[in-house]
Amino acid sequence: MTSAFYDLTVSHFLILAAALFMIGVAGVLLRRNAIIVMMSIELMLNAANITILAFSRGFAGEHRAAFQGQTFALIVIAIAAAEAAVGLAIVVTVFRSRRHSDIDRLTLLKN
Amino acid sequence: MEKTSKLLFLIPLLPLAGAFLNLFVWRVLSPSTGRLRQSDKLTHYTAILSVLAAFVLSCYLIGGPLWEQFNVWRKLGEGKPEIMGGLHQSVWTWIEVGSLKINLAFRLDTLSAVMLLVITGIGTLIHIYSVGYMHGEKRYPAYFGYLNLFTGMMLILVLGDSLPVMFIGWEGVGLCSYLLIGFYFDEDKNANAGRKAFIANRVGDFAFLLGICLLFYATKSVNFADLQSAASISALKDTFVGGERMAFMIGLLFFIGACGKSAQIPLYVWLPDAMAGPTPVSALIHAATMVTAGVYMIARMSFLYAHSTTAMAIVAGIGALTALFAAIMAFAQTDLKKVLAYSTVSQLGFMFVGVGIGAYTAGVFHLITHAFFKAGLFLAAGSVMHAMSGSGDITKMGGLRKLLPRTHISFLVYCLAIAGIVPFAGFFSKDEILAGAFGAHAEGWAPLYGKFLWAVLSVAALGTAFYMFRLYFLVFSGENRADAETKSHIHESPYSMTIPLLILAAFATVIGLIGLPHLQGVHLPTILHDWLAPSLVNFERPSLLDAKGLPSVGEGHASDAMTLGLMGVALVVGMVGIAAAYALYGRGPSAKVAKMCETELGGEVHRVVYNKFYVDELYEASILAPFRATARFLYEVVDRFLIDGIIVNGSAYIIDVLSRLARWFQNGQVQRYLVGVVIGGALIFYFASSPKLGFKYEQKAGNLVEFRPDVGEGMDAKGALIEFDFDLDGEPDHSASFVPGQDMIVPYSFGGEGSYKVTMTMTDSVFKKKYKVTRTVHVKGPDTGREGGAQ
Repeated sequence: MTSAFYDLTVSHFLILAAALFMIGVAGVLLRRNAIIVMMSIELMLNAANITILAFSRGFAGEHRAAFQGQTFALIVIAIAAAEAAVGLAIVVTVFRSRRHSDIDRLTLLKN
Repeated sequence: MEKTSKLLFLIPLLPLAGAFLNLFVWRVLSPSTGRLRQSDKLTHYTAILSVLAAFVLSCYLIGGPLWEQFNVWRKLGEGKPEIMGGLHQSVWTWIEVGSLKINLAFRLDTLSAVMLLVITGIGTLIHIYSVGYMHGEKRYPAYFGYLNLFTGMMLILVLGDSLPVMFIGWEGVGLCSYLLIGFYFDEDKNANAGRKAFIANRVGDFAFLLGICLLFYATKSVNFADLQSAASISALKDTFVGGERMAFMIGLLFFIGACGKSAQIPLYVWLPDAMAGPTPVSALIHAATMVTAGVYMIARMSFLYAHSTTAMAIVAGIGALTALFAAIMAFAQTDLKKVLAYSTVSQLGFMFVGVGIGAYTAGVFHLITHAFFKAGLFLAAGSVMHAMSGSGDITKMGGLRKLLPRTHISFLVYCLAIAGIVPFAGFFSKDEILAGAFGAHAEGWAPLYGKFLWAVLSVAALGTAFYMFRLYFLVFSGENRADAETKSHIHESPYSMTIPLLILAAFATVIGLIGLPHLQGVHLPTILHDWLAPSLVNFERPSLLDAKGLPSVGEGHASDAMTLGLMGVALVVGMVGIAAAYALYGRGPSAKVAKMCETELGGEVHRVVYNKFYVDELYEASILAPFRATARFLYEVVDRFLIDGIIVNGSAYIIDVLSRLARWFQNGQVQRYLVGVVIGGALIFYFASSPKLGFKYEQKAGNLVEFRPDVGEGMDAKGALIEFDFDLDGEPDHSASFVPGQDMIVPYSFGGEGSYKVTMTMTDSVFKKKYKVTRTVHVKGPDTGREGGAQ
């Protein structure tokens, strides 16, 4: 661990997380490809993970050894993996039947 | 002394039951094939028998209990009107609200007895006549049902013990009149005539209703017995509204009601149009009974009118004008029934003069005689039209004397009766009104007002004789002017039609004898006067007048010479009228008349009279046109534009626009929903993280002030640095970290009394962002401690 790492404050991590989250939001809102959208969701989940870890590390105080934040981040990663598996399976199925995965055109349930 | 009779309610109930059977049972049972069938017989037997039963029952009650009471009254002396209270029956309590209690009660006194006999007697004859006249009519049960309903309503009208009960009948007859005028509603003209009658009546009815309300307001009672109590009379007499007695206001409202129902100026316009109905209806409703309801009502309210000579003057004046103008309008009519209609209006005018000058008996007397000869005239007209294939155009008639002998002889009798030739009925009744008018004078009237009424009526009587005999000569003498087709069908009507005609003619000849003139030299029996005396305020009987404390009207008994002289004048007037008619129309339409109409003046006069003084056009311009314009405005602007355009379609348009907006969000794309989620989330964070910064202060002892920072609920507040600058030098004078849950108190002593600017700064611990708030703090002198607070 270099000393530069210790110069980082909670704020730096939060700014990184916020940036990452906004990239994720932008991806979800603007992109039409289902795979990209799912990737963007992963980005947002990871931004959340970074926030959890940053707070855990920065404000843990004397309970620093409890690793509560880290534990939570692991759970999030697990859930994200499950979600990605299911989501990708759906996307693949949709792509097989439709030959595309453009969410704007997946309007079978509309009307 | 009022006797209770248990049978009284049956008199109106019987015809009403007949109406129920006809309208709701026989009408449903009979298919409309237009031929006399079994059910048609059932129909007219039901109708005739129910009215006949009412007639028999009336005769029984009048000849029995009422007659007995009348004899007792005559024996015990005339100063005791309370003896002659009539028969009375209260069926049930109809309305009871506070002090207002209205029973559905009937009352048979001498006045209603007369009306009762006229209605049920003539009614029975007309029902019988209708069997022949309406033969083959498709809506036969409906016709008889309406006729029965009318009879029942009319009986309720005359038997009602209180004004509201009378009003039931008043409205009921109006309804039946409407239904029967518009009986042949397949033609627009007839349906419109019905509507016109209904609306003109409604104007009057409204005034009548207002009159009842005002009367109740003034006297707190609505039944005839209570209204004549001393307290009520005093309320009518001694309360003044705008310079006139209460009796005047109420009397005027009632008279407007009577104008509507009894076709007086200005509401008479409906009656000539009402001839669109079947002829027996014209005879029963628009000649004998319903249109006389106004006269009856004023006679019934004689105790009220007696207290306002102004109201009486108006009634008499309007009556006289109506009598004259309607008579003139009858001159140029070419329709048989129209002439009779104007004649009816005119004769009703005579009756109103009678009741208006306080000669109530004369008014009612003329009502009775008129009922006989005018009903007869209409029935005879119906018989003539029946013979002439339904046409009533008198220019196409003539020479029917030989062809319709029975109709002719009865028609002649009626004409003599209405023209006032001795000894036929009309002579006595019309003469009594004329003589009454000649001698009439009341407190507050213009001098010679009675003479003026007499002169107007005499001219009207002259006109009456003239137009009636014009009609007679055009129809019955001269050459027949009908086309060959019609001519070949001329036949005398069946006995069911001619027998009622002859019966009525017999009555029209002799009924006048019930009201022979009063002579001082020879005492002639005055049956009607004696009979009606207990029910009317009778100006000819001072003993009764004194008992009720009435103002004097009239000049007492005229001398015999005067009475006979006036009779002579009336007779001459009638003769002159007949002679003039003979001269001009004796042998059918004459060249003289045609020539007169060709001159400029004559043509103009003829045109104005023929067009009935353009009164209908006047109504059209003054009431109907503005009404239509208003209706059009309401339709085009209010309904179509405001309601349809702005309120209905406008609200729909706004919803449409809003829902387009909403639809943009709800388009099924998850991403667009997420935009909402993101924006919403961002807004929540923005507002939640903005601190509501401020501080409170409290002045303690002396100039010591305690400050309490208020940092709001924002999460930034944790560990934030709070700084106070009391002296505006930009440097913090006090600084401390904010710990949530702990009260932070910053004391400071100011230099002295005055206002200071204090700045508080908060710096959040993470982003080092500064929030600043500045307030003016007022420090008071030592004696006035004060608290303050603000954000």
